[in-house]
Amino acid sequence: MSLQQILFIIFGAITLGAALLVVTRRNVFHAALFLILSFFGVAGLYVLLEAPFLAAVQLFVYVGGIAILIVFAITLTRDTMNPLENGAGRNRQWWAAALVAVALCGMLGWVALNHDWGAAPGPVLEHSIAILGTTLVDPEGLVLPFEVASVLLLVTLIGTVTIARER
Amino acid sequence: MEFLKDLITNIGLWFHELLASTSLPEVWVRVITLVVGASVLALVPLVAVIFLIWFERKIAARIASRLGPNNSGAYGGPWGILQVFADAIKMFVKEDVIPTAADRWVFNIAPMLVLALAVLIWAVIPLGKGLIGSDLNIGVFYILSLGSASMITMLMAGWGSNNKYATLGALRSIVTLASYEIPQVLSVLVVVMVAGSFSMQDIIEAQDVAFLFTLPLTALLYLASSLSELERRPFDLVEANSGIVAGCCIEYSGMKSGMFYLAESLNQLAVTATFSTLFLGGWRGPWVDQAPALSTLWLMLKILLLTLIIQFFRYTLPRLRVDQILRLNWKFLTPLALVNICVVALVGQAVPTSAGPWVRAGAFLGANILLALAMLKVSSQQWQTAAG
Amino acid sequence: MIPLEWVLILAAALFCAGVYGVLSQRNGIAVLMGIELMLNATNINLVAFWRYLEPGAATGQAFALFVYAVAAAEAAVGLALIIAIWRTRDTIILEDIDLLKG
Repeated sequence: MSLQQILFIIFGAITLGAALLVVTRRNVFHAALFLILSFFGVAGLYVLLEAPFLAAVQLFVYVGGIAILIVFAITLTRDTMNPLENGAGRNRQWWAAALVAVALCGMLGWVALNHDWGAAPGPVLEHSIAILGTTLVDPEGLVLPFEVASVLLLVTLIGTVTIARER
Repeated sequence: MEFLKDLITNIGLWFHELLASTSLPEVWVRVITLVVGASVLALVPLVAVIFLIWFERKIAARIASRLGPNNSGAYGGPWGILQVFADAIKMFVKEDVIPTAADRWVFNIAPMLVLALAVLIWAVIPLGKGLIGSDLNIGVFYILSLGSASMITMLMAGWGSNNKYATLGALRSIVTLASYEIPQVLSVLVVVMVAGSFSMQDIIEAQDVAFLFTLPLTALLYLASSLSELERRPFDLVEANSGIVAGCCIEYSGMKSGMFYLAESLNQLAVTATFSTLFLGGWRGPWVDQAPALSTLWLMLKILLLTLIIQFFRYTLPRLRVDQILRLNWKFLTPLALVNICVVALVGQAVPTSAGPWVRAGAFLGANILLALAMLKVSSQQWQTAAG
Repeated sequence: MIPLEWVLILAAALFCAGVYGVLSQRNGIAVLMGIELMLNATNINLVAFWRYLEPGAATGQAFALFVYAVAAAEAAVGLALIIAIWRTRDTIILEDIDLLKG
């Protein structure tokens, strides 16, 4: 059990434990906090997988952006007649959902275990961030998805402001 | 004398050899050295913050023609430096009040988390030549993302207090923080573009001419947006003492509110250290190559200078309203930051690297000055039409 | 070295936690949180495949960045919709938003 594997088990346990708590907590604000914990766990996993730039982006976008949005929405949609009971819990077909989830997990795990993924991985290059940067703006690389993503974000910005506006 | 020239690194090496000469296995020696090093690194900003709090109170007093702390009861120490310890002891012995309907776990974890995130930033700040906790290849980005992640602690504090005003204060401060992240990130991006790397040590190495003199507009942008991130005057609406009293942290008392205060001071120290690294050349200064221990001294002097400037802002400028803060950001700083990136990128491509660092520096400086003049002209026209 | 199967199984488990969240929660925001869990699991898979199968290219990390952009966009629009629903129907419990039913 090398140090890396021990760290992977720790971070994996944090991520998975927090994720299971997210979907089972009745209080939706607590669920949001556990979601943030699982985001931190995923960032740790990225560092273990030698993608530190993505770990920082995960913290920036998810924890510093999406999680804040979720907590804002929770605060703005609070049922003020019933302030301490924030959330709603499970609906009537939760047992079917649990069955589907477990079956899906089993299937995916079976595929992952029974496939031959090839030889040992090669090393990550020293300047992988620079390679990522150049690929994103290279005309023969990924500049088209990059520009389309920026248009998507602009459209989202306009759409969100329009949808959530006070009439 | 040779030992003194590279003092801190030599102390570390001496400690490592001391441990290795005992009969512990190799792995334990490494782990113990790392743990001791990390603890010392975490303690350095905490000790520095004590000095920083005293410094701030003295400057505040002198600006107001007062004397500041010079006598804390029995003995104030030289220049009243023991006053800070007296304040810390007072905070420890205060009663810890928790509102009845507060969400206990969330309420109690928020101050711990904010302090933890504030200390985590110090892992990548270069404290001297060769003295850095961990020279990550995403150095500056790590600092930015931790600053962004610390917004959630404010929400936890506001929500956990179960108090309308705390929640409102938390929401207002989050809106300010999230808005000002954009010019902050964009100005850091300019520095990263010119230096060619995210790593803090690489940015320092790339500053043959300090970036303050080649990219002054970017430095001002970073200073303004970081002041807002720190919620310092003129952007400290959320802790306006006469208004919404401590914003999200109304219900905290005793050591927990002390932790919020400590985290704010730590963040201020981290921002001044980052500014000195990005724009003032970090630990660079005369005679650093011969005596690397001097590099820490230069960094401390630069941090002190920055702190002085931030304190001057605090005690001379009035506070902005929240709509003025947001208008300043979205209508002024963000477009300026975007145009700044484009201009610096164009100039960086137009002036080849073979022309030498001074020519490039001059080109960037010229571009920045032109941009500043254009911005002044455009904004003065805009404000004239708005007012008249 | 962490075996690739471990990472894939972890990502599968995270994905299925998200699926359970989406299918079984009554609160609209909790459904969105399940969607974010699923997107995180996908990202872990992408990064793991990048690391273990093709670490020299940047495609895996770039794909993960695009997933981040899309996730941020979708979370923003979803939450704006929930706030709009709250304003008109005064509830965000999905079972009670059934005007078009029947």
